[in-house]
Amino acid sequence: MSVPSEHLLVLAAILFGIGVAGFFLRRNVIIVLMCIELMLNAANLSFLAASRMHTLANGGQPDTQGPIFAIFIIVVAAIEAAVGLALVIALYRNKQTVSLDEVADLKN
Amino acid sequence: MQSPQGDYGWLWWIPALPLLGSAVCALLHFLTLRSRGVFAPKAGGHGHGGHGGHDHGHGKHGHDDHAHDDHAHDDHEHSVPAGIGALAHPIAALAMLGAFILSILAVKDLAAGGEQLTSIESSVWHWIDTGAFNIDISIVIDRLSAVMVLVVTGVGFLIHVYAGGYMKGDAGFAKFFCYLNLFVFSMLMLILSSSLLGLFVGWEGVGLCSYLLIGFWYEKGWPAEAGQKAFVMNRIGDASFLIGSFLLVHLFGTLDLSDIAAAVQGKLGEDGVSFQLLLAGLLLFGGACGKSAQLPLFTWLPDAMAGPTPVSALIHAATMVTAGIYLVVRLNPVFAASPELMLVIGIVGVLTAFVAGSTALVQRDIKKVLAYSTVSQLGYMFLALGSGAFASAIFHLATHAFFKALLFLGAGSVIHGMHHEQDMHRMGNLRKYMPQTFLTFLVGSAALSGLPLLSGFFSKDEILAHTFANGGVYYVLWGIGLLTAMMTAFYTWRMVALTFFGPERFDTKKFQPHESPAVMTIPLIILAVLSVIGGALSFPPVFPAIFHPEFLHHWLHPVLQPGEELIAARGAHALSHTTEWALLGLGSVVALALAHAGFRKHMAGIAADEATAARSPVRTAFLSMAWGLDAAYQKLIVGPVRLVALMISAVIDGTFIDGFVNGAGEVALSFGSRMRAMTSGNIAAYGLWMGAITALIALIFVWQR
Repeated sequence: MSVPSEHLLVLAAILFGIGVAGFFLRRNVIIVLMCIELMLNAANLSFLAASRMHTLANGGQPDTQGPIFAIFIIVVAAIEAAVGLALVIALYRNKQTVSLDEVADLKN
Repeated sequence: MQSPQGDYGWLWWIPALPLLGSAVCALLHFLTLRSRGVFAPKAGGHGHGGHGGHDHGHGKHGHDDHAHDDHAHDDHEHSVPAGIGALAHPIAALAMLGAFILSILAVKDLAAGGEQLTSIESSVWHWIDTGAFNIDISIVIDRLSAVMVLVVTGVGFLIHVYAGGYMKGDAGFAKFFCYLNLFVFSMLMLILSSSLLGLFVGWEGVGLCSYLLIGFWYEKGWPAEAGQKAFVMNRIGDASFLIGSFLLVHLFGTLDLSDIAAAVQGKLGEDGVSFQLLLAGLLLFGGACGKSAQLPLFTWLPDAMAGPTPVSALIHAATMVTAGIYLVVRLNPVFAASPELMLVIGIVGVLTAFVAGSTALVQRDIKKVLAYSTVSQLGYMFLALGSGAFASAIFHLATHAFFKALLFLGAGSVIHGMHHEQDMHRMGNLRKYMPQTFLTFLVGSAALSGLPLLSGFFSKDEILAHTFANGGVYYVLWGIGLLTAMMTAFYTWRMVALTFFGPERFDTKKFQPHESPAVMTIPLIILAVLSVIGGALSFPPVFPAIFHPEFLHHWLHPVLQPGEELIAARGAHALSHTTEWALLGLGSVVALALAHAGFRKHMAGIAADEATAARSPVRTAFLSMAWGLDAAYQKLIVGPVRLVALMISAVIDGTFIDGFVNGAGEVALSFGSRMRAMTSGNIAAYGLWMGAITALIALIFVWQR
């Protein structure tokens, strides 16, 4: 075995951290959406890493739960991206901006 | 209980017919109103114009402004063409006649069955079915309800016929018969139901209908108030009745009347039962006091005179007020089980009889005299119940139904002929103008005052004899009862003298009193005949066997047996024939003497009344306002209750309830205004909150492991 599973988990954590940081720090809606995508994929990676660990622990018997979860998340992420981008387009048409700071009409 | 099923499936038609009649009359009233354009838009004007209004002014209350911005009630002086509504009278009367005929058929079958056939019944539907506790709505005729159903439908029918003449031209003609039929339906439910719950439905039904009928001329204001008073006073009794019946369910696990009556004796031996039974009986008696107008709840009945006179006759003679008597007789073992309770009933009865009788002595309104007289006679019936003479109470109930219906209808005829004058001081010498009414009224008065050989004589005497036979404290009750009998004779003949004799105390040039139409006098004549021969229901035991003495007592024996056995177990009382004759003689002598005195004193006119009022103004005022009971209630009960209500509204409602409700609103508001700050519009902040709380929830889950 070349890459240890723990490395995969560390990579997932790093990706998730980047996603969280981007989500909190950036103001551009598209970037924020991309960061959410990043977090979802980090979750995917950790699912697959965990699945790999189970498979190895069970003596090569393939574990199916992890990949199935990953597939579900990919589907949900695709839908979320479609809806999110549609919202961004609608937002841009109305406000001529994609900056989150300028979209706070319901504030307080 | 032996009760052949199936054959008597038609029994439910007896109450159903008046209900049907009521529904048809309601429809007719609706059609009448539509034809008068009540439902048409006001601006468009309505065809032949709306008439209405009532020519039933009551002297001073006459046609004061009715304050109606209502379209159909332009106050025309005279009657309205009844139109299609006129059909209400034959329909309602026919419904009553049908019910009466069916009742006769049923009672005939019951009588043919002899002693073995305790009752005939038909089950209408299962009302409550919970396994352990079941209530059927079924119509039962046993020997007690047989008497009641004949009186209610028979006298009720005559009153219906009469009402057609009395109410002619009233704007609410069809409505009146709708209520009247509904009233009879409720009363029939009351007496024909097999269970206490069905009885209670009828009990409430007559309360409702009396409210509607007493307040029938509500535009005048005071009848509406009288109706409310009757309703509220009855509610007090009803609450007591309800609690009493809960106790009976607790004790016997059933509401079936015959089951309860049969079970009492077996239950008596058990621990604590006799006290609970006493309590239940006391509470049920409280209900009976409300419905049958006994102390302390009788004040609604004299006010109930605000209703049209046929209503007074129906309420005071055939229905409603007899409900209390019926209840006690129906559940006789419950009451007979405790001698203390019987004594209480007797005392309440005789005191009511005395108070109301003395009040009737000084009344000027002819209907008020009759109203207080009714209260007084009901007191007699309760005295009979308290003496354990259940059959005598039913006997007096029946004869009283005859002669009091006759008197009320006769008074109605007088009021009708006098153009709605009720003050006897403004009548006089009416025998010249309305001979038929006069003669029938004379018969009714003779019966009420207990002149020998008329129905009232036998029933009243039977009650007094039974009271006397009990001995002990009952001697006192007997004394008061005899005193009341004397007052009864006196005020009855004072009424006759003031109304029909002496000089005319109204302007004969202005109007001539007229005899009422045949539709009103024929019921009077029939009732007069019944008042004369009604005593045949139960001649005194000293009469020869050929007269079937105490017929009613033998007839009711299956129903009364449980209660009478309980009483007999405490020691039987019997009067010797000599005592019986002596009491009969005493009764006749005092009745004749006082009737003569009352008549002689007032024959010349109102001078005697005025002299009495001048000689002892305080006593007259005291008596004329019924011993000041109404004023006392106003002061002692209504006032304090209002005060407490005011306090409750200020303190409990104002401080606690409002404080709680408003406080809840304010908390939500302030919480909301604080929460508002959180919606900063910063997505990152939302994310932080979401993440933090998700983490918190996750932590809780982990921690709970």
